Amino acid sequence: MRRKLSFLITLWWIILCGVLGVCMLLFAGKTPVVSVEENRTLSGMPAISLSTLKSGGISESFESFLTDRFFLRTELVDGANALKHLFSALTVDELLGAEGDEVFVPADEPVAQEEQQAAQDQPEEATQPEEDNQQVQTQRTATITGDSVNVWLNHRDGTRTALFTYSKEQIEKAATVLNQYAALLPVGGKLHVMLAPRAQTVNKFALHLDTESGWTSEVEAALQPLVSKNVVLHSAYDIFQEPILSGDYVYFRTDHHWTARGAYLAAESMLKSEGYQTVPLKDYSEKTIEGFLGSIYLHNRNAKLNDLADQIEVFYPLLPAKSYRVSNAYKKNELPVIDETKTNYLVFLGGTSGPYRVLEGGYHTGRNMLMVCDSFGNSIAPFMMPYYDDVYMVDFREDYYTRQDAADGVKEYIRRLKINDIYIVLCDTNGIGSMYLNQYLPGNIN
Amino acid sequence: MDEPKNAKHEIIRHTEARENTTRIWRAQGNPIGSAVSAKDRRFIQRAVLFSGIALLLLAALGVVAFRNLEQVKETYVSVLIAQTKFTQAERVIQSLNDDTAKTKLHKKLYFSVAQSYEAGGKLPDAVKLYQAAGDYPGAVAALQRVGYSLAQVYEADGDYQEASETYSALGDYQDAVEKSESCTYAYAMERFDYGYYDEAMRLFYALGSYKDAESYAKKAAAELSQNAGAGDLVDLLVGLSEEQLAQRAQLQTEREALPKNIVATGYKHTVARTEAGTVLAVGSNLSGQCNTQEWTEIVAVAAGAYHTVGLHSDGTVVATGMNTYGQCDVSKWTDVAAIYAGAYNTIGITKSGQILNTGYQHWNTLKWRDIAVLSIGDYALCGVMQNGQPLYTSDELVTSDYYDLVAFDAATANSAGLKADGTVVSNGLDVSAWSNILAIDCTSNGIFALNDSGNVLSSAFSYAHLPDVSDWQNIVAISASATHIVGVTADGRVLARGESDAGQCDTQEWVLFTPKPTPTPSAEPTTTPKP
Repeated sequence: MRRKLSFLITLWWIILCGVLGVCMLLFAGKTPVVSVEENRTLSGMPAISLSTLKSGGISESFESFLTDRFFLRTELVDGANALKHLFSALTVDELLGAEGDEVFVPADEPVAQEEQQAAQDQPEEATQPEEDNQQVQTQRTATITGDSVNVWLNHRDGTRTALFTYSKEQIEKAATVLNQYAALLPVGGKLHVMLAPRAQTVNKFALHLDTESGWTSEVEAALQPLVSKNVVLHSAYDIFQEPILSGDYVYFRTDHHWTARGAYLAAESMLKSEGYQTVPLKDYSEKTIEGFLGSIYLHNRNAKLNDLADQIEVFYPLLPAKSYRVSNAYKKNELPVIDETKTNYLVFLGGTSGPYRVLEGGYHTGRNMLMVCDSFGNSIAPFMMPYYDDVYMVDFREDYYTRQDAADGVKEYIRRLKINDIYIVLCDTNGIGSMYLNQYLPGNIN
Repeated sequence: MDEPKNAKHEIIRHTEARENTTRIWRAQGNPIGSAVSAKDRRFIQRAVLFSGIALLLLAALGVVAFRNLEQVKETYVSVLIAQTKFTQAERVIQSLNDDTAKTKLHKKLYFSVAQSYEAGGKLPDAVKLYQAAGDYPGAVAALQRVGYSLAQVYEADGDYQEASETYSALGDYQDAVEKSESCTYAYAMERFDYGYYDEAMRLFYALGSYKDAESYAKKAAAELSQNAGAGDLVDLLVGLSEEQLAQRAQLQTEREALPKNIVATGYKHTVARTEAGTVLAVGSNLSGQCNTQEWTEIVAVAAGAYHTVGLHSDGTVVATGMNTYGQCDVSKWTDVAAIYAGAYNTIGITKSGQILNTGYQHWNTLKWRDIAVLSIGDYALCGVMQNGQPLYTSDELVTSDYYDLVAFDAATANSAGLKADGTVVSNGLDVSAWSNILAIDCTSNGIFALNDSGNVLSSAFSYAHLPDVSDWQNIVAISASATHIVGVTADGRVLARGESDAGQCDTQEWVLFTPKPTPTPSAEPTTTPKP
């Protein structure tokens, strides 16, 4: 009897393995796809060629394919994570402070092989990983010296803590870069600059209103005397302080971005400073997406954050709006303005697309603008449409931008696209002292 | 180890820990020895056979389930909703991959929850959920039904303001429009009785000719006039001086003498109506917006961003150019008295006062009455009632100074209003110094105004610049886009200035009419203009 049972178990085990193998081969995706949950590209079916067979790369690729794409993998990974975090000792505050990465969206039109090669041949400073940037600074605690500038979190007991500290050299370097961009504009053109905090920073304030009373940024005051007259600096900290104290939903909790409502406030503030009459938010039709767990959640995937799940408010353009990828200053393929298929932050413009992008809002004002931004620009750019004929966008991060694809520098784009104003909208990790501001911005002018 | 070829044998491994024996058969063919019996063989054969059959059945079931997993889940959601297990249903919906199905089921869920709220008497919550259900079958009807009931509850409770807004949101459902007006009237009366005369005056004034609203507006103004600095609206309603009346009458006569709807500007094109009833057009013709050569008997022209509209003398309307959003679908319109064009819309007002609208935007104008004139902004619709009260679809376009108007024009979120006394109000620019203005045109970059001397004034936002037309004289009509302006002179020529990259300013050779003698201003006015 025991022998029979043993035989049956062995037989069924072999059958199970066989079935799983067949299922995987049949149902697993063959092409590489982006996993929003894991924020990376999952491997596809390896290409079999003589060289991969010779080098042995085929086995590695196949191994990656097996690990990334096995049947019901997402469910299993989720289950494992849930189990792991069941015993996690991390607090909600610690989890909310976790670094949230951008959700990477591959280009719609794959860059040609030779362009990819050329991109790899770019100077080293232009292709360094972004992780080197401001993250170190965001971890700093308060150290006040005469040569530094801080962003302070003010406590209700009268004390304060530095959220960010920037050196004099970093401020000067930033001013130099901003002046370079201001000099590119035609007469009368303005360069608007907004360096916004990420939700990791905002959460320290917004979720602790019982102990925190506000925040103060010394950055704009430090930069102001160093920049040209046509540079307008906007303090996101000033703009958001009152809304946060009032409990307005201006930042997500589990995602590092601002909400569309926050983006609207930022846009409205910049536009009003120039004298624009702005379209009120209530005039837009909207929809909401419930249960959004964003990049901060995805960093740890800790179930403790489920209760803080966000809601995405999406505001539709008032006029027939279109968006196109722009390369070599020409419009290419059409892109969404609101991506109805997405239920995360990618709903805004369907995510970043490079090298440039244009939003045509259907308005006719005789003016064009360029927004140099990171993903924070995706939710704010639609609110700029009523005030410009064409809203151009560029994100210089290496995932989205290659000089080969752009063909020209910003200087030439500004001339060819008849740009009147530039808006630089970046989050703190791409702000002062970062690779983006210090190298990407000046490196792509010419 | 050398083994004899084809030898059948068994290796017997003895473990010291246990006294059992594992047999590993290495021989080909049938097993031999006492351990393998015919019974065993049958067992193995049957096990393999049944396993195979079970596997096939499982595979078939798996394939069917896998291929229809979403449908299985959708059916499950429907069952859960039917059992009123809404939370559980929501969870299953979230697990769906198909966004379309997700949206559909969400709507079904909202609808069902709304029904349960409605049954429980939670009308405000039910309204919200019916709204969320959107176009789910029956949702709109249910929303109107519940919204109407809710408005009735508010009305019965004496909360007339809330009732009015709720009725107003119901559109043309039953008598919602009338109910909304009656509630507004009741609310205004309430404010009047409580002594909030300023609010009452404005509410009555906005009601125009409804019941005795005009009379009560004047009563409220009279109460307010006892206070110092009561405001212009109070002065207007209480009564104007002889001098003021004379000035207004003079301006009105001059306005009426100006040619109407004679010239219009699109994004990059310009059109003008001639005395002979033909229409001239220059500029970009990429959408066919300049194909007006065959138009005749035109009495009014209007231009959208990429289309042109003409009103025939017989009340029919013709349009050419971009029709992506149906902005040129005007061929069936009849009995039209006035036409207006927005960027992507065309509006006609019939002789009976009905508003016809076609194009991208759909505005709720059910409560609009006594319309004197309309104007389409970039996305909003605005107009003026016979009593000078502004009409608008976006609150941002007006300030408390917008009353006693004869014209109201909007661009994006900026607007300008021309008052009967010839002054101009704006929600973004200070143009208080302007006087004796006969016509205005508001663009996203600023405001142009035509005064009674035939000059064109302009005021630009700090971020923009307007074409300088301060040297123009004897102008009788103007029209402006964001980047160019045209002016018709008293001798029928058309001046144009600004960007002309598509030739939109090439109007030098146009002559629209032969000059007529200037009309003599009327004598002293005998009646007060209707406020």
